[in-house]
Amino acid sequence: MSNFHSIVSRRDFVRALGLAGAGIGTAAAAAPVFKDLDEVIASPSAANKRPWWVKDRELYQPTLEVDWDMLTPPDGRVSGQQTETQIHYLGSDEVKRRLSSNIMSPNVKAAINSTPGKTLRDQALGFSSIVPMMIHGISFMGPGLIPTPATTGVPKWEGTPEENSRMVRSVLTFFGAGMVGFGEISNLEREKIFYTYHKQVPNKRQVFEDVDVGYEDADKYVFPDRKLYKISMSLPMSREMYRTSDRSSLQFAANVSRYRHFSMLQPAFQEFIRGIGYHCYGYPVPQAGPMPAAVSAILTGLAESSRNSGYCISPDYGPVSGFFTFITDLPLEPTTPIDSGIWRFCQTCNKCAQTCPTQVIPYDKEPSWELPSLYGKLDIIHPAGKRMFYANHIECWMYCFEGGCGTCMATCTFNVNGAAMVHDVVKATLSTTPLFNEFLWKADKTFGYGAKSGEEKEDWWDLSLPSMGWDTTSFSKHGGY
Amino acid sequence: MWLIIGLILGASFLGLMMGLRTRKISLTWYEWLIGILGLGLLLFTIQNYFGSLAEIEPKAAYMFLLVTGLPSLILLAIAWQLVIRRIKKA
Repeated sequence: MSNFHSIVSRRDFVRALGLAGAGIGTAAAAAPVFKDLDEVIASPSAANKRPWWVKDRELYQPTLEVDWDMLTPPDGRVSGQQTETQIHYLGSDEVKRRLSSNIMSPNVKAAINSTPGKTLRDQALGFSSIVPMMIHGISFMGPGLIPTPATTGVPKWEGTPEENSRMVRSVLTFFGAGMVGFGEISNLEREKIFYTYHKQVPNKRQVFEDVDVGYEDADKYVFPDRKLYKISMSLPMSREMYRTSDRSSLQFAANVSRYRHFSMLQPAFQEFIRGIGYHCYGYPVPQAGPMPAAVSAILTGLAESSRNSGYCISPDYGPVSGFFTFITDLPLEPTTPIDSGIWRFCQTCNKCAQTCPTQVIPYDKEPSWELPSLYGKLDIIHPAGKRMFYANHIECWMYCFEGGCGTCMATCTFNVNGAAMVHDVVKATLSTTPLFNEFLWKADKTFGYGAKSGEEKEDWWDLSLPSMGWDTTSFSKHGGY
Repeated sequence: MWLIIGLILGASFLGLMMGLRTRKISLTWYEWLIGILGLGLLLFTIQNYFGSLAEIEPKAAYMFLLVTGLPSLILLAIAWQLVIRRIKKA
């Protein structure tokens, strides 16, 4: 028989039991309990789940200021990546000289000398990473292989925009996407965001016509003149490989990994949308879609603008992500632009500008509405109507074509992994207290974050990293991952 | 790791409270404050040190030892010395 005597009376015990029961009952009632996947899809929120310091903004009001009246639509034929544009500024002799003399021979020399980042195996990995994208052709309309409600007589899927958004997010995540955002294709988007001419040669026109279903012909991509929606998604890439920038085939392997993944993802997703009775207009090639992908990512709240206008930065994964945009007639619930303090931070931080090998990223403290002149000529590579920093993407891309770069993304203060809690503390601080921005980016430098150099680049080969080089659990909220 | 740190912390706190009770020592509010700040900073250092090593950022890991680890030990030492010297005086 026990000699212990309880100091809790029977009455207190019963009361405590009652309180505990009530507490558990309340918690159970408040917690989301899903009986099946239909209920998961039907739960109310279609927005991305974000940390508390990521604030939603109004539609079409990103943190980077935009004068929508002044904004000119982008022309895919004109950009720092296009040879014609490079020739416009540098002249054909100079472009030829730079490209013909600099692409293969330095690579061969580097392989012979086992230059870190350009050893034989680095280059083999870089080149091989892009091959599947060359083999798997993708198209504007999709493969059209699976049965659809139109062919089987089954009623097409009918869900609310919120349900559809959640469903699409689940599908794209399953197919390999990181984060997913949505928007309606308003007149504003048709007139100001869509490329007038597609970026991919032969630079077809992009038009809206009074048809039920879009199509592609010899000289144009046609979208139906009806209510359409966009889906913006990210494909994160290997941060570790990016940190081997610049002049690194390992960084190149990471860079093209998004196209490799996308060339498999897009046909599957287009077929899914067809399979439920709708249409999805995709990319004719993995590198170019209907609108600048970064703009779409910013407007749907996946990312914010950065000092280097060539990429954008996600509060969840930093700058090392690729973004893609689908157009569909499946009704979707829009997600809004965000404010996580990144664009404000970039106005103080100039780490990318300092480390840029070509010194083409501005050091200015304030963004500007004024387009700069490039090589004494008008800037035609940036649309007017944005208050931003204007990097010289002619030099940037020429340098990339000559042997690869990515240094800006590699050294970005936001290109950090997630194991140390300091990163969350820093992100929350800069989101709420811009006063510390300068201290924070200088501390980032002092603590040694950023690109690796010399033999350190080759350490990648001995690391044990996640499949496909990025942590696919970064965005998962369920299942205990 | 955090389970073990939690167990060590719990045992240390229990030991501290029992020691203080046995020796009939009471701590002033600022000794508690400095001690808790020091302990918090020490835990922050431990997490970021091992986190940075996991991230393959050894320089960051060592910087944490220096920038937050050292001050955390200084704060803990100050709290300890304040108590010791106050008791000696009494």
